[in-house]
Amino acid sequence: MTAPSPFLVAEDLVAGYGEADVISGVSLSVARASLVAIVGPNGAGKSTLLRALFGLLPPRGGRVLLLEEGGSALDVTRVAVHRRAALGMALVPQLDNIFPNLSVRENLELGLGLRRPSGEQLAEVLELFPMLAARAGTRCGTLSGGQRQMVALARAMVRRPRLLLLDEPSAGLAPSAVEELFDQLAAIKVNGTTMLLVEQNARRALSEADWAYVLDMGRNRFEGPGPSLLADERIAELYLGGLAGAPAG
Amino acid sequence: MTGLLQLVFDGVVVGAVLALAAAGVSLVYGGLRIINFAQGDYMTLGAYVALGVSSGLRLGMVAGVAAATLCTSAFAVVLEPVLWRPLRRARAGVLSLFVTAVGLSLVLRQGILFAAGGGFQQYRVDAYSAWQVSGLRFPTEEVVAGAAALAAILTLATLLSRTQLGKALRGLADSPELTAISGIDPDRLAVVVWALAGALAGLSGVLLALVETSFDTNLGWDQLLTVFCAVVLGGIGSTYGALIGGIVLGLVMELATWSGFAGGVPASYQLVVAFVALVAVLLVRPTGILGRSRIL
Repeated sequence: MTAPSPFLVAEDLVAGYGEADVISGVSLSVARASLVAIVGPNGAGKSTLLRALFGLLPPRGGRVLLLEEGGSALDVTRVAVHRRAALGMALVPQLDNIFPNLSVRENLELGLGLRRPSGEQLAEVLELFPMLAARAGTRCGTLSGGQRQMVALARAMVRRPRLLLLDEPSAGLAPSAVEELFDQLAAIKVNGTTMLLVEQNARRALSEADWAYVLDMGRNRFEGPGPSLLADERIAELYLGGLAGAPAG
Repeated sequence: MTGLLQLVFDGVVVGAVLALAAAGVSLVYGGLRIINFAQGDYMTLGAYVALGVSSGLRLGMVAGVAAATLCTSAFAVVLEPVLWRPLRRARAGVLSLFVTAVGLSLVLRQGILFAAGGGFQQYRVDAYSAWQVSGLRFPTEEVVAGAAALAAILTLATLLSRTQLGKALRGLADSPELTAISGIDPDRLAVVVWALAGALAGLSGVLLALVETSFDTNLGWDQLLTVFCAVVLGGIGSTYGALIGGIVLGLVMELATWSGFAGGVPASYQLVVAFVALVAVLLVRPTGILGRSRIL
């Protein structure tokens, strides 16, 4: 059995705000159809890394590559943000991830950009998120945090992305909504979508991840299969508040 | 009662015409965070383009209205890559953009004055033509201007609510970053915003000049406060709100002059009435009729 080929590769990425570099030489590889998690303490540079990968924060150094199955590599480091959706990339930001004054249906339709949405694409995504079908006409600004997160995820999925980047999707959600969210991520993974997940709920993310990176002070510290990192006492002590392998909260 | 109904008609016509300009201001602020102080002078530009085409070239008022709408739109679009986009790239703040718009307003007004000369102008229309119905007088220009403005309002509302482009424009007002993440080029949308805002200003200007029967280079400038009042009344950044705000304001300003209303407010105090109405609404609803507190 051959290991899955990498789809997204970042090499020595440097990015930051103002004079300061928030991430310094971070490298990672995301295998096709896998779920890769990035965890680390607050201020480690996780969200900055995701913004740099998607071009929202232009990297100061390093590069980001999309590798096709045929072996060709596309350097997307300087590709404009709005062109990334056409390359199969989608991002669910932590904040401002819905259009609050638009209805649920309109949010999903805008997931397709200026293309006219087909009923089939919307039906497919509503099948994945059945709760949204009943609220299609509701203005998103009136939804609960969990429902908004669901709209954000559904908006990103409408275009059937090949690579989905998620920034702290469980932040601020009730435990039941977190469970629902991870169930949906599992369903998305089954469809073959590659996912890169930045998550503050490190235990839960590591328990689900095929591979994970621990970031600290803007640099790679550890990497390995998610469950192995979760069982590692050093990592538990340093980043998970002790108790390696404790149940995900 | 006839007097009151007459004022309602006048209010709807003036309100609908001003609502078009207000919707343009709101589109630009909502999408690009630019307080377009030059919108009044875009209106004046439209009125003079229509004058040149209808009277100068003798092509008639329909061609004049079309030319006013297209030329003002084109002018606004040309300024996007030349002026506004470089300022956005340089991360100019709201105040810098506002002062730039003030400067543009002055340059544009002086440019029109230089090109067209001073003094009052009139379109070649029969200013005395009117329909009389049950004691009410409906001047032809007002009926035409009101119908054209209401048709434009309906068209704009349909564009915003029914088309993918309209939804993208409303999305841009909510979150420019998420619009780009969704695969929409924000620079392309900015061009669309200016095209619409310019067209709305041009159309509003020529229709206002028709209603007022004579005009000069201060046509739009004189209405700028009323237009901004309509924008704030409707809710800053909400294009639907601006459309409603314009019509409400037109009605309030006209109805305030009704003799049955404590003798009526003198017409010269209509702008004061507009601001009193604005303050009254904001005291009850600080974000305006359809505004969301997030925008400012």
